[in-house]
Amino acid sequence: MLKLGKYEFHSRLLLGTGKYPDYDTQKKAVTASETEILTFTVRRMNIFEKEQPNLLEQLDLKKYKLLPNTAGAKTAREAVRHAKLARASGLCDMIKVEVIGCSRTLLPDPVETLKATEELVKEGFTVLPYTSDDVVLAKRLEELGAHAIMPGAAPIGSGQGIINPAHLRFIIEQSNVPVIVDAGIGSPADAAYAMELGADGVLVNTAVSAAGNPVKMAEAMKLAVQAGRVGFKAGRIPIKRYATASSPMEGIVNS
Amino acid sequence: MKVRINGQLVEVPDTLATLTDMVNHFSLSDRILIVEVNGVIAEKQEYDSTTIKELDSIEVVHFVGGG
Repeated sequence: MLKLGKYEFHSRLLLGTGKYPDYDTQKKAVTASETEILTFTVRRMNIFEKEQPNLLEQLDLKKYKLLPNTAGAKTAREAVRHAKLARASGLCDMIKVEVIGCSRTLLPDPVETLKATEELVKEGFTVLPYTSDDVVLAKRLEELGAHAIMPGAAPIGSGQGIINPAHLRFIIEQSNVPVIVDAGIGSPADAAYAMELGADGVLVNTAVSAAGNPVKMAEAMKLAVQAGRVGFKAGRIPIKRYATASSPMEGIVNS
Repeated sequence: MKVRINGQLVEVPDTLATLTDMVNHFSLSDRILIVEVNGVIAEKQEYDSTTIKELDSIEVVHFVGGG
């Protein structure tokens, strides 16, 4: 079970809802992923074009927990405002703190992320900050009361996969709250690798939504996260430099 | 009267007295949305008691896809 604050989930795959080719594909991908947590973001509504489709309004909200993000916020103050707006929907009290500090890399602003996390924890939110792979920052976020830590694997939407597995492992090993690898995952292998490193969950968006076949990729990510988790629990073998035979050396039939 | 909705000045009937009236006027009552009036979030149960007046700044937001 994945425990995030007071919530428990069977699935360890969190799915973003941005940038799908169309709504039908998106709905099928969500189903195929078997996720229980969907991320959203808060934006102004075009009240003069009301007929625009809205995924959230087409979902069975009993089946999914919403994890709104604060994407678009550049300061803690803006992130807190986004979070409060999201909670006022009456649909959710989880929030993914995302305060971007660099427009080219979309890497998070650590100072503003800390401030926002502190305030949102005080306000009673279930707080999941998106952070870099900095171990000390992860510790500080946990000390402030973050309910999970969400280090990026690589820059958002880049599909580069896990570019710093050593640091992710450091974060995972020292963390007392769940660690969800967020951002930069490109393929099922990346998702499985994150789980094999000991992550408690993986959040993907672009890797699914922009895949050649998002529905198939959603299923592949589901299986990868499951496989990686079971593999982690099983305990992989140590890496050796040279071969060790798998077949017995005794009784070899020879002349 | 004129009110500012999502940053845009909009003419609405003077008969709109409350936030509930405004939400109904724009046929938004069955939508999942959140409203902020002059920087203060209005909870659903406060719509009836939240009055709207000339040049109020109203934000109407909702959830869209994002990661």
